[in-house]
Amino acid sequence: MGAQFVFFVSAMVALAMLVAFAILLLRRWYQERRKRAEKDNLTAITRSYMRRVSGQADNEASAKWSDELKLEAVSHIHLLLRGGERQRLMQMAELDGLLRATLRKSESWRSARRIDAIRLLQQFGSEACIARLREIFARDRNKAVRLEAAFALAAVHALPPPRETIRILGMFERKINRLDKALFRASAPHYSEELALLLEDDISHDHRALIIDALGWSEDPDVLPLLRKASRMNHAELRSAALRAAGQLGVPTVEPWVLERLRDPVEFVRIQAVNCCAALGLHGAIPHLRLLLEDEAFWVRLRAEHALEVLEEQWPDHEQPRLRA
Amino acid sequence: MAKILIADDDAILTEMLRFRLEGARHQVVTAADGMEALEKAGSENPDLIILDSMMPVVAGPEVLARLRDAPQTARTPIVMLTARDGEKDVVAALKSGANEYMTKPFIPKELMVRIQKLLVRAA
Amino acid sequence: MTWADLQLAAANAVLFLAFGCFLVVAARNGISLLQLIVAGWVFATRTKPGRNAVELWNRYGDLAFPVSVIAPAFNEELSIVDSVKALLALEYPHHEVIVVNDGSKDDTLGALIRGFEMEPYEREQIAELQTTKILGTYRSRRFPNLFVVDKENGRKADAANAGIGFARTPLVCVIDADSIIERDGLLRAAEPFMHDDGRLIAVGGTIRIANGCEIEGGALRKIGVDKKLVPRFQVVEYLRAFLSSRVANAHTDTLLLISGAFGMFRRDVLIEIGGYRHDTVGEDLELVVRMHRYMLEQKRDYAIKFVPDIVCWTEAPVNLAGIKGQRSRWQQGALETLQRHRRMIFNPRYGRIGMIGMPQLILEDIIGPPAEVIGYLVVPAAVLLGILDPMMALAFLGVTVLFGTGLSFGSLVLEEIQLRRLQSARDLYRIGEAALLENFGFRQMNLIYRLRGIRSFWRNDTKWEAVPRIGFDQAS
Repeated sequence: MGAQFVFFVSAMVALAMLVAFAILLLRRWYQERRKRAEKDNLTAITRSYMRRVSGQADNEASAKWSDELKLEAVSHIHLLLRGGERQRLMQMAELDGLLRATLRKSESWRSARRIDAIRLLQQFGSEACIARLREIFARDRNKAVRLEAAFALAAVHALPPPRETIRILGMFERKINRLDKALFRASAPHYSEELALLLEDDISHDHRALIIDALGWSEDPDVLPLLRKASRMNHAELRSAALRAAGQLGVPTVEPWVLERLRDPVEFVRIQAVNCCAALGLHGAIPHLRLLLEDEAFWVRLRAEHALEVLEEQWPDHEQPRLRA
Repeated sequence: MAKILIADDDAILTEMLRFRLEGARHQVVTAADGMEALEKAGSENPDLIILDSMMPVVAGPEVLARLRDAPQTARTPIVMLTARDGEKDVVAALKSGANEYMTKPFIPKELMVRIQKLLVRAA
Repeated sequence: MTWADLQLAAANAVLFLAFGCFLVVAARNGISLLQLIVAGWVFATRTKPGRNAVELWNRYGDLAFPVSVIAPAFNEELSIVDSVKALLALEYPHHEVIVVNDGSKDDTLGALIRGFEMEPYEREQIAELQTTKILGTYRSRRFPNLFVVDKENGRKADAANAGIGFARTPLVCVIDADSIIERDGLLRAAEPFMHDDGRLIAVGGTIRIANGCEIEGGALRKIGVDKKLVPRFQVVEYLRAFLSSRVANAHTDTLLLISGAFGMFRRDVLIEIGGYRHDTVGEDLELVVRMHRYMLEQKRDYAIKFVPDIVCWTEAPVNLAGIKGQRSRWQQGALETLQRHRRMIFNPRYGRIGMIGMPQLILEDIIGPPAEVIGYLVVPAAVLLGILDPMMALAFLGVTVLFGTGLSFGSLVLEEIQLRRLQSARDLYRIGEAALLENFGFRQMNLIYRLRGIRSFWRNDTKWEAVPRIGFDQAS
């Protein structure tokens, strides 16, 4: 290998790099120049859609606006609007065919792009979007994409029943993470009965705890007997989940069995019980909580102290000696 | 007719509000970050301020506190906009001196009604 | 032995040395190239992060673990109030800010007390990891999530440990008091924990140089690039380090360093391993290596991850004098860590860390710098002795420069395509220019500083305590 050859190759590579850098710079420079115009266009598009949404004549609309830019504006406005105007905006976006590109993108071979598309579809949440999301959720070959679709469906309140979700995401064949928890909680208001039925299956304690936890988000007081039963089960995870759920559900009639759990042998169950008392404002718990200030476990003492602060703040007129120095 | 300052880094939200407010014959001034909001609040002397809680440079709650500390804006009606709908945040914002509180997403008509009421009360 | 024989032997030795150095330099460049390619792949296939704080908040608001932000502060009277305000204003559902006043000589504590209406407040320390005495603890009447610990002066490691001991949240985020955290930095760094099934113990993020940016009240107002060359060189170095090496290392599970300017950790694991070590100048590197070691020895399943998004900005030294101290310390710290954990090196018991991570550190920090220096000396000598074709020497010099620039340029392309945080074409040009110029002078100076670090490692091996304390702004 002669020096000349090395020189030649180096020079070529250097040249290639120089050209690439020049292209990068030019691209940036061009985008910079366009950015101002684009920003003006974006506000103009916003104005135009706001006009149409509020039923005024729209005579400023320009044919030069790209679908991409319109989509950017509309998907942003979507995030800010609520109520009837949002519905109307969505209809207009569909009439203008803005979703075509996104639907195409949702079939891209790159999973990152499919996930991008899912997030947009979720934002719109129209019939067509939900249909496409369901399809992705059920059939996509990539697990991460399916999970993303599940979240999108949950966000637009269109998640399929829990059994289907569990099967499609293979939830019970792996360890649980926080996202699973969130999905279950999100689907609880629509499927409290189905979740309750799931409890009768032969499943692991962790999975059962997941479902019990989710029941707290069901907004359905009919699940209370189930929670009470769970609060007396052998497995500590289940007791703890039942207390968390009770705290979230916000029905104070659970007081007797929640107080019972303040004396639970397991530390984290006691902590959950204390949190539950604070969340529900269980005034009757105050004497029991006092006792827990002497608990052997640091975290229990800490939570008890906090709970007492919360409860006393809620009943300021109640005669109580100050606990804190 | 009133002069209203919109302090928000989100250009589209600003434009939406501007459209509505100008439709109601108000004069609109905008600021894209917390620092600019403080400057404009001083120099433009607005009748009402719409303040986003998430803003670059100086965050919304801090802007609010400083506006309340300045004699010129101590009594100017302020509407806080926020993306969080936590009860705690609402209480905190109202405690620290916001007159109204709106969470995103919002219904524009509702916001307009609230602004109108605040302006009438302040007049 | 005749004179001619001696000459021949000398020539052979020089040639041999030159060849050895060439091999080392080539190996380092090869690894860097590989890392760049891996990073490119990671970026190309990753899911784009949520666009803004609002979106992240909506997605994760209910899921995020509470975080304690630990900010050790030393002599920051003038800036501390602004910094803490910025920390309190970070976008996160539940976070507590724990400021540790590390025995400041100025009135840092007073500034905090006045600025936030702090009052003395007893709070039980869960784990006592510090070696110095706690003088007092304070809470704010205005901000329920602000807590201040006042302690005797120690090192940054000691201050961070004291703060960690007071934290009560599942996650802690250790930062430098003067690092400027992105508004959604906590959310971004906590995101991997939400996808996690209990293995994840630490997350690092990309750090950038704040020099040249407009900063106001402890927050970033406008991103910019400094006109001076020294900060620009460092921007290039940081781009290479974070966007290519760390991304690649994290992808291959060999990440050994989470920068002290921003790191998110699981609190229980930190306490289990006793927090930062006090007796090293490279406590951030040592911590992560020790985490690996601990988890591997316990045979526990674990993961350490890296988010390529920018989480924080830090002020870099503006001149060579500042760099000198910083780089010597980094070098010394790396050597101390390697020495302490030498039994991990090439030990199959430590898996990839022992077989890939540590050897890479050795190549980077023990063999690399001297080899390069020797190369710079030996190659001209060989040319003078007439045993190396001058054209060939020049050609190889050219290749090295090309490689250096190419790697930086590759990282710059990743930044431009993926992060897009540079504000203008001019800034892009400024960094590109620095990437080329860096090869003529700065790189060589850096080598000398690192050799100094090696020297102080040998000298101060046992009496490191004598190393004078330098402000946090220079810790990596």
